[in-house]
Amino acid sequence: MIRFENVSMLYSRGPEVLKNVNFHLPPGSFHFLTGASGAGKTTLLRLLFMSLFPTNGDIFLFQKNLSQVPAEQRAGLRRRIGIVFQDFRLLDHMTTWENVALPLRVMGRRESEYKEDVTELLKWVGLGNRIHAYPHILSGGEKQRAAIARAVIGKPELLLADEPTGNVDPRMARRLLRLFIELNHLGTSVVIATHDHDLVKQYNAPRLVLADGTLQVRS
Amino acid sequence: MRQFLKTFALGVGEAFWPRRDKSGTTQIVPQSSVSGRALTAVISIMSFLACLTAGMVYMVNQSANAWYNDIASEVTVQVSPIDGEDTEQRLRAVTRILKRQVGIVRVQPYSLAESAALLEPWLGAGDTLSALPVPRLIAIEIDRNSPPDLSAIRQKLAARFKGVLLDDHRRWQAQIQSLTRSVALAGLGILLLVATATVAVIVSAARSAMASNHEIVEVLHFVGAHRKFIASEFERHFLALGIRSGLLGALGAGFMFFFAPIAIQLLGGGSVTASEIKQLVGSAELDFTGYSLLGLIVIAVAAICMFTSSYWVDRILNTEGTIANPNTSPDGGFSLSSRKAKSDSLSNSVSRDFVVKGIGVVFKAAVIASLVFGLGFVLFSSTINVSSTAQVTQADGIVVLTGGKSRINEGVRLLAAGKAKSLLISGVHAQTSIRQLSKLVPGARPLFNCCIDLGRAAHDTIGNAHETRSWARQKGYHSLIIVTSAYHMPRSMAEFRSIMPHIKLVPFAIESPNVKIDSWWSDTGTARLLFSEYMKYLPALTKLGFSKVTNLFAR
Ligand SMILES: Nc1ncnc2c1ncn2[C@@H]1O[C@H](COP(=O)(O)OP(=O)(O)OP(=O)(O)O)[C@@H](O)[C@H]1O
Ligand SMILES: [Mg+2]
Repeated sequence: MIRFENVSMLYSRGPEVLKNVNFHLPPGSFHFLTGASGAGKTTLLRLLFMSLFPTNGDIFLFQKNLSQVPAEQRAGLRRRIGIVFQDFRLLDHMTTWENVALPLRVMGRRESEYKEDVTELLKWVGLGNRIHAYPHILSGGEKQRAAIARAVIGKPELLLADEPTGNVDPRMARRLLRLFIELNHLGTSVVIATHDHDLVKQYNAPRLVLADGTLQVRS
Repeated sequence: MRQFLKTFALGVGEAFWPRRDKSGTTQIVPQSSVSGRALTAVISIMSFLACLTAGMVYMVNQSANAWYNDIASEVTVQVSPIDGEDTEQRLRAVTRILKRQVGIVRVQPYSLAESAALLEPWLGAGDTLSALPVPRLIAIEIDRNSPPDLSAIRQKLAARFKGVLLDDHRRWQAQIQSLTRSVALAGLGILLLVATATVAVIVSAARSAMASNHEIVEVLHFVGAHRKFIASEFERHFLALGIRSGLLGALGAGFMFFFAPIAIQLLGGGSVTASEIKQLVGSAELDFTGYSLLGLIVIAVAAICMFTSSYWVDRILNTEGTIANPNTSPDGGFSLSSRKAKSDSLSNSVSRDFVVKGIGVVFKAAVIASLVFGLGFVLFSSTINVSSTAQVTQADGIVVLTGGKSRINEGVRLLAAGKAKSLLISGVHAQTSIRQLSKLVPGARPLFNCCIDLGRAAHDTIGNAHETRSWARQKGYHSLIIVTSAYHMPRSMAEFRSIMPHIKLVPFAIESPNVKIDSWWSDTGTARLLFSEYMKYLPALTKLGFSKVTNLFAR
């Protein structure tokens, strides 16, 4: 599913965040990605969804070398990935419901096909009464849940979540974790970047630990 | 192609029925972020200016061409009176022959009264004319598609009649052609400037609108939207914006063109007639082609808006992941090395700055040039003055430039007053005799016999200057009084001085009827005359400057 081969990442005006990183994640796996703030968690996820490209080495995703995927095929790959951004990135001119439905809409699916699904998912993440609200009035936690709903609505093959529980209370965090686990049981590979030790403790999954530019896999 | 047609249809629909989306779902790209009022206003104003300029240039070109074609298709035949022969009868005979020639559409002899009317500006109204042996005119309109052999006709006429002259206005044709060409060129230049400014403004306005939608482009791409999908969402809004603002501008300009003739009549308050305007700027109305030109501009504006948005979608998507991997994909199209990306954007902004500065410099230069030009005109008009006889000092000779009717009178008066030894009338028509001229100045016959020479070689002011120089050389004169109309004096002095720098020239500027020098700004006819004189004066002045410099070096 995911393979890093000698990947190095050096920001043009910044530190060398990854140094010669090698690892492999099989399909259907579930991993936490941990490390101190600034260790490079977000960077690693961005490399996976082609928002960044490595300075050195190769990244393989779905058996494809990401550095060699032509620009017009990136959208096709991203449809198979669900992304939860650390800073949510919801569109301000759309309601919560529309934001969540956006991935299906850009795929060209009919609204009647997914209308129920979107509403149901929003209820599940506790936003049943915020369906018609716009992002700028949502609380941080509500935005985060909307962002998660948008990432999972298309039932992706790979879910990348950057601090998905950073803004919610422990109960909601457990609930969201259950959502990710359920998705994983349905076949989605999951990578969750987090500082939240409680969350990591709650589910027995391997950890990818980033420190000083190197990555270690701990079971 | 199908994608394009769909975008196009959506854009056109949105232009006329904005904010009508089926089923009430929010648009993926909010239309309001693209068609803000300021943006619409800016693009409308630029379209308006572009349409106005294009229409104006088109109109002037049209009337210049029509003018040229009129002149080119007209030929005149002059029948000069000959002592002892019936002019009227000869006129009829010539007309008959002309009518028989192939390639001639119309032959129209002028009656005596009509000829007199033509000569009135030079000779004045009244009975003096009937006493003069005025040459009679026949106007011929030739078939432009199969023109006649004019030289054959000329020979035929010369063989049968004495004093019959065929004039095909060839000299005028050349001049008018060069005039229309320079008008067209100047118009094209202005149009080019306005078009450049329009494109620059629209592109930068569309760019800033796109910049504020940066986030939307990125998020759409992250959730799996294809480039084409994103681009078409923007393109249709920008197309709608372009169509709406373009139409607004074009309608404004079209409105101006449609009502301009009426407005001119209303504002003219009687001092300008519609026919005068027609002569100066053409019909002041656009024909069908003219209006289609405005439509073309709307299309161009809409296309520019659309393509700018499409270009910026690409730009935003391509700057994703500019951190590169030179080792694994040396030739990957999207993965530029970071250094190259930086230098690229740097050189880009440098070249953009350069363009912006360049436009600024050109604009400033244009403003300064037009200020200087306008100021020059005001100065020029203020220097035009009528001279009084007392100002005129003694000189060797007097030169009268033909054109105004009182010029010869005034020249002869100066001669009679003893201001000089002899007088040259420069630019006399080939068929005008001393006898005819002497009739214009009652009682001056003796002077004509002794001290007045006629120059027939000159056709214009430059010709006058050359003719005068050879006359002065022949007579050995070192000082001359130049007699001409006040408005014509600056140019004459410039032309004369540039070819005879060693001769002392004394201007004697006289008043001309219908020319209100002291209040030219309130009299359209005078203003127009002065302006065209100013336009001819500038090259003459340049020539004078050159000759002064070369004389300096020759010494
Ligand atoms: N675009 C960039 N240009 C230069 N440096 C960057 C850029 N983005 C991130 N960095 C730097 O790279 C390092 C890793 O950043 P990253 O965002 O990956 O950390 P993180 O592990 O996600 O941290 P956090 O847990 O706080 O979110 C940081 O030192 C950061 O300052
Ligand atoms: Mg981070």
